Amino acid sequence: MRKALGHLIGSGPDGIQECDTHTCNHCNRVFEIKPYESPSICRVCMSPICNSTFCHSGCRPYEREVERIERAARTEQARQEALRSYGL
Amino acid sequence: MAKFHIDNLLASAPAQQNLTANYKWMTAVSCSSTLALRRIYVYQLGFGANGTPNSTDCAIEFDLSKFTAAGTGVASTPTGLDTDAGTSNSVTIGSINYTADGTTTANSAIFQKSINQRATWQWTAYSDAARLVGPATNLAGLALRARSPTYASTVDADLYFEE
Repeated sequence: MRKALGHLIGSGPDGIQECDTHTCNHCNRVFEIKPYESPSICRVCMSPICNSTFCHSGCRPYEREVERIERAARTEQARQEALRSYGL
Repeated sequence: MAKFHIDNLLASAPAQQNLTANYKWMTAVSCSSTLALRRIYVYQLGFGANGTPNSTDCAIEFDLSKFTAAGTGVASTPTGLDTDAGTSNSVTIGSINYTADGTTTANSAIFQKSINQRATWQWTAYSDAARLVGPATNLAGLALRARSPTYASTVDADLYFEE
């Protein structure tokens, strides 16, 4: 059984409720797991993933997606600066 | 990495907003092009109602979503939590209690929880792998939002992050 990566705890009219959580390594979403349950594991990056079809359809670590977003933003910023320098 | 905290009461005039049936941004953190861009790693969330409860029990929905453009909120300086932060302010921009929400990426909620109006919940990441990540992109960030069709008062939404 894999050790949980996070914990959710709440106190309310039904008393204290808590559960373990994992964070999907593909979509970065927090999902709850039942006691003694193990999450799905991606066999490429060997990290917990959620049960969505997208995350099971291939290994796409979220870190890579963040790098792609940052790279695209830098490229767009450079393009805008170049256009400004041309007077456009 | 330095740790910081922000909540929607962290301002001299927080101007908390009452909930509606549509999501309202309570607490948001984002990058700014005027300072160094750094990724935002959220490792703890806390949320619950802090106003007069509705006469009948009802639910409040909270989520943490990504956004690409900030809206209009009250400026709030995140509080440093450890020696790495020292007395320095974070380069991450904090805003709370938005009157006009920004541009949320559709279907981008990475945390979502419906709670009773009389409950308070907290999520904590045990390890670095469990942290929720906001990219180091100008004006992009993560917003902790809330909505309720029945509970029409204010909520508390706090967020702990590293940068």
